[in-house]
Amino acid sequence: MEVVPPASIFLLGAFLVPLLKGRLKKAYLLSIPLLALIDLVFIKPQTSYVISFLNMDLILLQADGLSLFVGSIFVIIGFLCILYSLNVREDGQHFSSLWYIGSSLGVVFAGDLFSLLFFWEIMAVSSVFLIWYQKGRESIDAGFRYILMHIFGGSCLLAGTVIHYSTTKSIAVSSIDPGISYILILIGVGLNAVFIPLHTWLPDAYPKATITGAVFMSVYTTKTGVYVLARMFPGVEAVAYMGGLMALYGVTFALLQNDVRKLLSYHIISQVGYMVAGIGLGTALGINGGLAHLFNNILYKTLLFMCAGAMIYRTGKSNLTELGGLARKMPITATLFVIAALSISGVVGFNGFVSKGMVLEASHSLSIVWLLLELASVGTLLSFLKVGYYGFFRKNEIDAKEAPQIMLVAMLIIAFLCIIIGLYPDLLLSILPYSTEYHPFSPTHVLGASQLLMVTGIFFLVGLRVFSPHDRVTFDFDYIYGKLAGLFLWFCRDPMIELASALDRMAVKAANSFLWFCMNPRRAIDYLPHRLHLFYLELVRAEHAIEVRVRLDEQRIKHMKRREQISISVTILLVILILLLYLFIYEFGII
Amino acid sequence: MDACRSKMAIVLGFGSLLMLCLELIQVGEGYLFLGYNIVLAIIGCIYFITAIKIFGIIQGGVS
Repeated sequence: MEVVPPASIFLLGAFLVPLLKGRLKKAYLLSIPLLALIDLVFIKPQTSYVISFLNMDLILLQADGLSLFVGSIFVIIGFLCILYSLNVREDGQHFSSLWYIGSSLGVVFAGDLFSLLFFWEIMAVSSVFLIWYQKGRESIDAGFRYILMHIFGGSCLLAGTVIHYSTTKSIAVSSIDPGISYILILIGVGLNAVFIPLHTWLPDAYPKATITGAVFMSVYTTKTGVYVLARMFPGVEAVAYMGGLMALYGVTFALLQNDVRKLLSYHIISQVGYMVAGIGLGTALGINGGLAHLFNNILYKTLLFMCAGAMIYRTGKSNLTELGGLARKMPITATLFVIAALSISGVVGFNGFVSKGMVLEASHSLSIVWLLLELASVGTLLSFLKVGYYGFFRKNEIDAKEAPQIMLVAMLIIAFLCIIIGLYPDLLLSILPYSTEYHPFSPTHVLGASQLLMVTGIFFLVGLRVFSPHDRVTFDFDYIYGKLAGLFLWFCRDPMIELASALDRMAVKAANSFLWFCMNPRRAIDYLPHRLHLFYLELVRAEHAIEVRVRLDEQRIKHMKRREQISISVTILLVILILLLYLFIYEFGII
Repeated sequence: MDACRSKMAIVLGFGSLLMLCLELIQVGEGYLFLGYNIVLAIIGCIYFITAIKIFGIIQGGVS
């Protein structure tokens, strides 16, 4: 059976959305990921789809174990995200979401760097609308910052790709040799994979996206970055250290947040850190662990964003200082939140326990990375205890009701998947792209993880006041970027404008001199040596320099008065001669 | 600390002691360092509490 790139189903399917209405539109929206899923079933490893463009073969579909694994979870979660967002009325949001999913799938299945780059850029542009649709001043500004950062990342990726192609004549999406192209591509990919300090766009933009937009965004951008890292930079030790740093950095900042969605955004950085570390470790267990964590993280992180979205949707509030008592008003959402929180914290019996354990076991070879990841686990539990307690369980009177049914259905399915994978990890382990031996329920792992979480729980209960949310501004690297941007604007405004004015004055002076020369070229040629002589005299500070200057000024004035001596036609002839001379020199390559 | 929180902390305390005992049995089989996860959790919590305090001082401005 003929297959098509799954990306095309989303990208083309989006065009029909504005033409449909009511239930038909809802059914159509859900049918798009289902169609893509059917397409995926028929795509076997080694299947490819190639088009010719500018004498180059662009591979829009290159299937193997890795791409099929990531592509499958992208399509499945795409279906659930669309289900969650069915109540959204703006067609533009649906269109952007479909293009966002489609372009992410395009990146996953791209068989060459140019196709990857093409979809990479579409992904950035389509996702920014999910921020702008929130429509506030803050969202519009955050959207601009988001797109600016992604244009920078895309430019690095483009430059790296072009340099790589010009030196190796290869555009394959595979490991590359160290060099300038290597660094540029790593920066470009690292920006999407939220490397520190390129991560600032994420906690800045995600909390300001629409409720459903943030759910979509929590899935695709960072995970495509991780996927490309797995393709191009597996086993790079520096990447593993970066992963460890991201895990701890993200969770430290998450603990300081008051806004639920900002807290979850920082947690994305932390969780992506586990994936990046696994890939950087480069062993089969490490990469499998990173990818398994990608799969699980998509599930529980989406569920967490959905729960946060439901909270905001029903209460209109997103700060923990304003929330509380929602467990009574929104019991199903609260239960689902607890399931997601236990999953992300790596509690035994939930999916996060399986994949986090894989990465931690693989990281024993790099003890610093291992320590960073273990400490991050402690912080993860602390921050979700904080959200759970201050958002749902503490006493507070707040007006709210349970989330809409359509949202709950999507959330229930994801929660079910979190538990089922946690209880039967072989469902996930059997579809991982590399073959490894791993037993998640080994006594060592179960006892170790349980001890870690129980002691952390005791600390939280005892020191509850320390973890209470505060309405503070937390400064991250974006504070430094803001200062640098201010400095850049000052540089453009003051010194550069001064320079431009100076250049302008010089140009006017040059034009006047030329005009003066053209009025009487013969006299001007006579005058010039005297002028150079005066320049020399002034340079050596000769005594009679002033007399010479006065005499020369008189000559210059006379020159102006006697302009009738040579006609304009002679001047034109002279200019033509100069141009001919230039042409002659240029043609015969003397210069 | 209210009563509910105290009870929960005690339950978790007993739970972690139980885990430690089970780990002790595993040590007999020769493949574990006793209680290193408890030490890690304590170090982690101290780190995060310190981080919150320090950032609280540095970034004290109210939004």
